[in-house]
Amino acid sequence: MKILLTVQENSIAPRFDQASEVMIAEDDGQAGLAAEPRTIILPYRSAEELSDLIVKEGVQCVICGGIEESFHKFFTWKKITVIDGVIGGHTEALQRFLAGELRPGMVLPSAK
Amino acid sequence: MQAIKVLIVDTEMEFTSILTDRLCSWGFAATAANSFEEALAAQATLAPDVAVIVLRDRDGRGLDLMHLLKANDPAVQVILLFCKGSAIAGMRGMERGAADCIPLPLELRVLIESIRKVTGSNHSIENEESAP
Repeated sequence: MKILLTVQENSIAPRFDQASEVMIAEDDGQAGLAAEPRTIILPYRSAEELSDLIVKEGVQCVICGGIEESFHKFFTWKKITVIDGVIGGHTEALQRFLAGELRPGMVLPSAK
Repeated sequence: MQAIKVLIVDTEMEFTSILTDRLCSWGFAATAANSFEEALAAQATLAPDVAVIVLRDRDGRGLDLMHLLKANDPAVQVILLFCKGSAIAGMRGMERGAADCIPLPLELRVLIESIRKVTGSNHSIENEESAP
């Protein structure tokens, strides 16, 4: 499964439309990663551009902070799982996801 | 081994700041410039090996900067990053001497490989375990 995490200053971006970079990871189906995660730096903050990227990349799960309902609905319609409202470091969020422990609205210990 | 010196030029401060941080964490000596003037001043003091210039507009004003940087130091390698709508400017840049041209959004790994390629460093990112 391809997972995308929205990032801002090494944490999950508090708002989907404010993400300045993203991390794309692929799990190996055994609680690990199939390859080194990729970092993609966005030229500017834009929920539309980010949505395009998510669809083009074939992402199956988005891990983010707050997200507008319209984008949430769009991803659901595209059969993309959204784990939103996550607060904390993006690396920890990925680890929790791989362990099957990440839930919407979760505040991680690494949260500033 | 001396770190490869990279000058990143873009009017968007957030973009240059993030990219500078990321490249520094990969062992490059990266510096940001947010205007032509800053870029030329940084070139004079730092003598970068590579200049990464973001083309954000269709007229490709960044190509003028490339021309100036290369006039000051013909050895500097220029990598152009182009936004949607600036691909033609990127192609013109390649014709005028840019070493590489990469689309935005920017995949960090692609830029790192490009910097290493244009500077003749054959160290592959695939062989590194220290990915931040």
